[in-house]
Amino acid sequence: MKSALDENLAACHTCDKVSDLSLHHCPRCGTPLHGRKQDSVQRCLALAFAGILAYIPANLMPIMLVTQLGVEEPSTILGGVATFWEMHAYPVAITIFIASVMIPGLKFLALGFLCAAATGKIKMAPPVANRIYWLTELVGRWSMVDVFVVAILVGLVHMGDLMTIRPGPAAIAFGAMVVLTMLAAHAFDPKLIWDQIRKSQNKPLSK
Amino acid sequence: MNDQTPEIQPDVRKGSRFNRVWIIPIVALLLGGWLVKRNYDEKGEIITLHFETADGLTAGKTEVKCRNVKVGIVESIRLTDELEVEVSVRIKPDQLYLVRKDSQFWVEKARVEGASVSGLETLIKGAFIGLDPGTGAKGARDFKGLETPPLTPASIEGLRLILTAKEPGSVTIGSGIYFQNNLIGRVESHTFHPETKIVEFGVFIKKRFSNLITTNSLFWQNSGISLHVGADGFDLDLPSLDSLVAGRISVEVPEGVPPGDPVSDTSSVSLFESLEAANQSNFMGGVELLILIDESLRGLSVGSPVEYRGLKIGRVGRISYDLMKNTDIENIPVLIQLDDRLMATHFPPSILDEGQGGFEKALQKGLKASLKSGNLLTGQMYVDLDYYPESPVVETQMEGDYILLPTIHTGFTGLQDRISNLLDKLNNMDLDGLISKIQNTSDEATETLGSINLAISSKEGVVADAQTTLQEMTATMKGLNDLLGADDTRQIPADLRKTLASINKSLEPLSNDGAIYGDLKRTMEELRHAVRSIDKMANEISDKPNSLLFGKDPSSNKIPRARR
Repeated sequence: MKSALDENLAACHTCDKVSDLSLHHCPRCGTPLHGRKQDSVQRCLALAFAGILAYIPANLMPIMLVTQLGVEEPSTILGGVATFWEMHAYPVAITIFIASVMIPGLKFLALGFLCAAATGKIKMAPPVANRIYWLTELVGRWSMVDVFVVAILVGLVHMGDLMTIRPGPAAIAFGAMVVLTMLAAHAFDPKLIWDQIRKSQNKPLSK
Repeated sequence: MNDQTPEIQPDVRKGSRFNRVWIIPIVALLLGGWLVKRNYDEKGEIITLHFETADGLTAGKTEVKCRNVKVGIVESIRLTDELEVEVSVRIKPDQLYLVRKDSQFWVEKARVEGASVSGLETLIKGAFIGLDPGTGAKGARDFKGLETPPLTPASIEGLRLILTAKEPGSVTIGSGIYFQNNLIGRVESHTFHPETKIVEFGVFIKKRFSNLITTNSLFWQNSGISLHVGADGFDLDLPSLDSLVAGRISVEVPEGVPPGDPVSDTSSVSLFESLEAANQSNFMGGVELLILIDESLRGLSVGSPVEYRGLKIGRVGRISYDLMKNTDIENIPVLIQLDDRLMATHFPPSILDEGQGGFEKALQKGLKASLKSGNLLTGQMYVDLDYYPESPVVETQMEGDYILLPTIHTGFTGLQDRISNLLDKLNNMDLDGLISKIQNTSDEATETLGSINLAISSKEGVVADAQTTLQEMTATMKGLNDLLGADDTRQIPADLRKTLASINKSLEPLSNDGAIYGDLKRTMEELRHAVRSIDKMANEISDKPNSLLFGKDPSSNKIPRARR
């Protein structure tokens, strides 16, 4: 099986025009041409690592500061999950837990696996790897649920002295984490997975 | 196309293992580290408080406030082995300087004590721990919490006094201190000492009023309604509502008294039950005089006023036979004490100078004491001092250590005296002699009659005379009979009957259907009407007292009149 790269062809990142790599720049829009995304694995890993760093305060610090009758009560994501669980609102608790804690965690794991697969550290069946990549990309924008909820509550609940809600520091961290994971997923070039497979199938990867 | 574009030689560099992308996680790491550090710095330090109960405290929620500014938060609540509640509190680092050796902590919650309600906001927001920094050195980390909020924080300037009283009355924590009806401070603590049975009130006077309080200031409880009945009518004193409920303490420097020196902080002053008690205690002991009263002392008691021509100059100090060395004395010794301060304003200065000398002069002029009735209704008596120049001068006598002041009976007691004198005179009249004299006289008369009898029996002619007299009498009787038999005499009963009939006739108007009776009846009717309307009026006034002033509601049956 031959890839486009074997024919020295590459699609432009911006306008998707397939041109010869020797041109260096896309003849249509002038964007530099690359056979594969540059430093894809490294970028992906760096961004994912920054995401993990943001993931820690996002879960430890309060995401929401509820000031009720002058008493400020901070609440963290996990605290909220626990509260809903104690209130026997299991679906809500499970939803928050999955959307805000589990999915970001799984995303980091998935990115790690993909990077490992792209560099040939682990072997992975291409359809599985592709599926993982697709899921990571798909889920990315939806993990902002928490931040959305906080943003809506902050906008809605302004009852003066009775009750006010302010976003906590975790909201920023959480937002940053989501953005970083999305960028990490975007930085990853899934073609690398195929390259690996091809590399293992026909040893010399001629140009 | 390819050959038209100039060949661009790629600038080939050795790929660096380091990619700029790694700056992002490094920045994130730095940010995270900075956040952690800031968070750690902001955590502050833990201090431990011990309370008897954790009532109203919630770990992670209850705040620590100093003058209602949040300075920390309760982190954990633990029960020690001695069943004491140990509360760990995290104080913000920039507020740590507030925690000093003599800092006070207490749980602020809604309290209802007496009439004062405090900490109502804690009902909604929940209790918080109050912190009063104090002034000591920093560094303490372990405190014993107070059960009640402390007095006004020691850091607030003002005058702090301790008022001691035997009875708290209606004064409680929160009662106001009033100077001429102006609020100048508050009662802040109430301690009862079971050993001495004395109540101590901690009082805080605001700084700008603190120089109103001097060594001569008197504090008295001024709680409740007071009604005075005096010669000048009723005097109802109704204090403001809050003092009626919570009690109040009034403070004033008594009239005619120099203000005195400023009071030092935390000095102890006595609190009197009433203005009268305060005034009495204000007594400045001076001259003591002894008077001997030879009449009933009903209405005179210890503390009764001593007046000079109506001006109060002292009081009755003691009534006791102990005052006399001479035991076989009938009169009741009464010790009167004259107030130096009142004397200075209310007494002629002539007596004041040099005690004995001036006093002798006054006695020469006729200074005497007398009991007078102050109030006829209650029978209160007072001792009045005055000059009686016309009364006999009495030399100065000493009785023990006291100068004896002569007494005189005047006024009502004088009148009583005169009446009793009169009765005494009546009593002393020689009635027995009079009766014996009368007896003698009647005896003599009997004797005279007896001698007349003798004289009669000794003379015969007298009998004959008597016989003729009897005969004459018979003749006279016969004439009388004739007179009775005469027609004219017979006519008299008929005349009498006629007179009676005319009397009857003249009485007719007074009878049941007579004119006067009718008049009377009508008058009675009118009277009854009048009484009924008075009754109605009384009802109306009691229903609507203002109808006395504003009249009956005219709207009820007013006949509208057309405007011309």
